[in-house]
Amino acid sequence: MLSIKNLKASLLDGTQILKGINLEVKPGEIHAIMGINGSGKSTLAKVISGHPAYQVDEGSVELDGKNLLDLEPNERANEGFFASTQYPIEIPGVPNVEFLRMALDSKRAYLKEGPISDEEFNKRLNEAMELLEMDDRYRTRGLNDGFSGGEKKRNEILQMAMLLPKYSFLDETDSGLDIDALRIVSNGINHLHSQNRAVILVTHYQRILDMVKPDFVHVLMHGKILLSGGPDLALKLEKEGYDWIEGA
Amino acid sequence: MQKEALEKIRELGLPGKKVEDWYKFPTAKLGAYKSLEFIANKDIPVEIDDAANVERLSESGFQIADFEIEKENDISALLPLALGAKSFVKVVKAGASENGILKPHDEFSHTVFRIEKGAKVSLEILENKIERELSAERIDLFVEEDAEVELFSTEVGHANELKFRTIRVHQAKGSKVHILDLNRSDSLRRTSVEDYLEGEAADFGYRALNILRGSAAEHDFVRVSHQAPKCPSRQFIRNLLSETASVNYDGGVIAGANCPGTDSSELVNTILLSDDARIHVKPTLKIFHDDVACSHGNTVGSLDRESLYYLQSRGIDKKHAEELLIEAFAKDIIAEHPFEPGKQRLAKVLAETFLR
Repeated sequence: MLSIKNLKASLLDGTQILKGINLEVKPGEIHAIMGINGSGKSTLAKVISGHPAYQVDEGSVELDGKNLLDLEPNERANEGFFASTQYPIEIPGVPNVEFLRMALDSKRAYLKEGPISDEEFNKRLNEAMELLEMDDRYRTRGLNDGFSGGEKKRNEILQMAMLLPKYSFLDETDSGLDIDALRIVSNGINHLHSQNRAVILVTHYQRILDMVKPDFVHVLMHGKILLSGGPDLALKLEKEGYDWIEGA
Repeated sequence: MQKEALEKIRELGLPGKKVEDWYKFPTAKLGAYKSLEFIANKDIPVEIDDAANVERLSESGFQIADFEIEKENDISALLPLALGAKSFVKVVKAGASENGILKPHDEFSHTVFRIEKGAKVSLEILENKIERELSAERIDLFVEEDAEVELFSTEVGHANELKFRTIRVHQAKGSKVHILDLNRSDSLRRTSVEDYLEGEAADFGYRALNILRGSAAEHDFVRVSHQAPKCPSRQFIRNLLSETASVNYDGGVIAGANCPGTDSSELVNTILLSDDARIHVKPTLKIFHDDVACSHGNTVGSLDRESLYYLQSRGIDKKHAEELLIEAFAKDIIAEHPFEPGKQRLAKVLAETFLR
């Protein structure tokens, strides 16, 4: 289980963004987090994954009983936490496939498993690329180098497919996607979600939630989760906005 | 030729701190080199013995005037000539295609190439295996119409050596010359490159990657003189500097009055891997025509924090993430080099350098 308790975090200049987040995500669940711009949704993903621009003031984030906040960013990832960023960074000169191989081997080394064989790696990569309808250009290009917004998002899901994390925090994965790309990415998320793997989906729109059905919907505002509910909550938000929420 | 070079070098004298073209170079050290004493002290005899050399140059169609000794202001370019270095002379016939190596055996060396119309030449400069206190090599390239030349090196160098490398290039219409240099030297080196784009659409590139540590220092003095219309030129330098290593890059472009359509760029990117590493960049643009595109840029920093975080957030530990970023930064230097032999050679050396 991913258990976030009273998480408070600030920028390095002391500006507090997260003001006491409480959230529990069990294996196999799909959670959607919604909220107005600037409410702290992206910060939550970055703080849990160990972004150096933030400091944790208080609270804990436990993944299967281990406090992630005590770990380095790579250790958090290898424990099974995956944060897909809203604007994936471009790293020219790092070939996409080489990067995927290194990330996968790093995880296997952390889990004290041997390196993946060429055959197994290629099989998994081919399957994942087929799932996400990605062509061979993605193999040789630099990591996100020159990718369009949609291609970057698809590449994030490719990484998720190769690393198979226990908890995937997908930050506005649907933004900037055309209709076809949204369908492909949603299919990919549904395919990768399983009884053992949970998804936390940050979104502003109902359209992705029509395809990736959430079990729970949360409203994050002013650094706190102010309201939680079922899928109907997203429909209500789509219709009525956020003004009606107490404390909004 | 030796006499003219000797007179000129003595006229110039050893450069001092205030000589702009030697900005930041530790010129005070030059006086300590025995082999340079003849410059300041005219009582030290220098035997003039280059008749056979001049004759050999003449047989290949070269005149003393071709080396423009009277216009030369760089003592490092004059040094091999003044000390009577025997010139290695080669004419690559029109339309021929050749790959070769340049390997100086002496302290002072001079290499002259005429690459005739349409010929294609790839030259690797191999370093002298003998460690010396000081060495100077000069390469003159006369590149005729539509000929293509690649010049590349992957130097390791000697820790206590002062090395001068001079390259002078004259390019005719439609010719292409691209230099690719990987410097992993521990030494003090000065590279002086002057390229004259004398014919329309002549194309020049200078790409260098300096991976320096210890007290290694690289001083680049590059001048690209656009003297004809529609000539592109590129200067692209990347530096990875650790410990107290330093690079000083003085890169200049002159776009002459008769040069519409000049397209030049100069870019220097540096990653400082220690607090004591240093980079100095001095771009110079002299533009005498309105229809030109000349750009220059310079970035200095440490490894990008966002990139490091991104790689770590995918499970790669910090040390390997840093190595991956450094390798990517370094390999970018060969991406746009247009000739395969140099590209492949540097790719191989870099793969060995960054072997994980």
